[in-house]
Amino acid sequence: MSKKISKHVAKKGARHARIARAKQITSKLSSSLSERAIAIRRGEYVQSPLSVRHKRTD
Amino acid sequence: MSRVHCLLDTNALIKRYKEEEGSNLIEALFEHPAAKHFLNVCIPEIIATFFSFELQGEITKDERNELKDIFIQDIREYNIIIHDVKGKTIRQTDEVHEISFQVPRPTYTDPKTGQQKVKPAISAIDALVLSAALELKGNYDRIFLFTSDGHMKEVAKRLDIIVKDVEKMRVLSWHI
Repeated sequence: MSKKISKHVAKKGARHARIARAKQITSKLSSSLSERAIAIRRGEYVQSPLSVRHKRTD
Repeated sequence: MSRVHCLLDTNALIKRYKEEEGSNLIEALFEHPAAKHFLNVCIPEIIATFFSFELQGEITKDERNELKDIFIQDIREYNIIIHDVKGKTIRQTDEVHEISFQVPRPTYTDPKTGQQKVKPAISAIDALVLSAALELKGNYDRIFLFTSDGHMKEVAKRLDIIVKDVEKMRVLSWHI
């Protein structure tokens, strides 16, 4: 295998491992990321990082 | 045949990081040589979505940071092409808003009062995403908008933007 191909294969493997790790972390979540993202855009999800940070420093 | 260009809305891209409805097709999309575009103003929505689960105590701060780093690495490796909002994107939102007012807004039952209510019109970010899709459509022959947001899909159709909803598809296809 040429150096260029082996580098490409290694990079692809690392990418797959990262996505598998993300899916492992999110597997315990109670709801879908997609639904939550839509709710955040619609403003239906009231807790925002900023409001919580504000509460913490109060 | 010309290259396929896809603009992913937040609700589509984020499926890359969790096994959920349609995530297998997003995975297939990332194995496909199509260009995957993502609008820069949508980046905070990805971060906020991860953060919301930390706030609920469903993931730790370290895990949330790990998810954020995985997303950043996707940008660094150009697995996602970040599309910047330009003057043209902003100007075209007029067209998007005009069309959006013609689309009947969906109704829903308020869980607190039980009353029928009308959902809000498309948001400012929706308008920018649709405008960016129009912009890409002007530059490339084969452009697809990936979203599962019902109201946005209706507006996109009226703008002649081809929508792909991975929650309604069995296999990844480029048929219109």
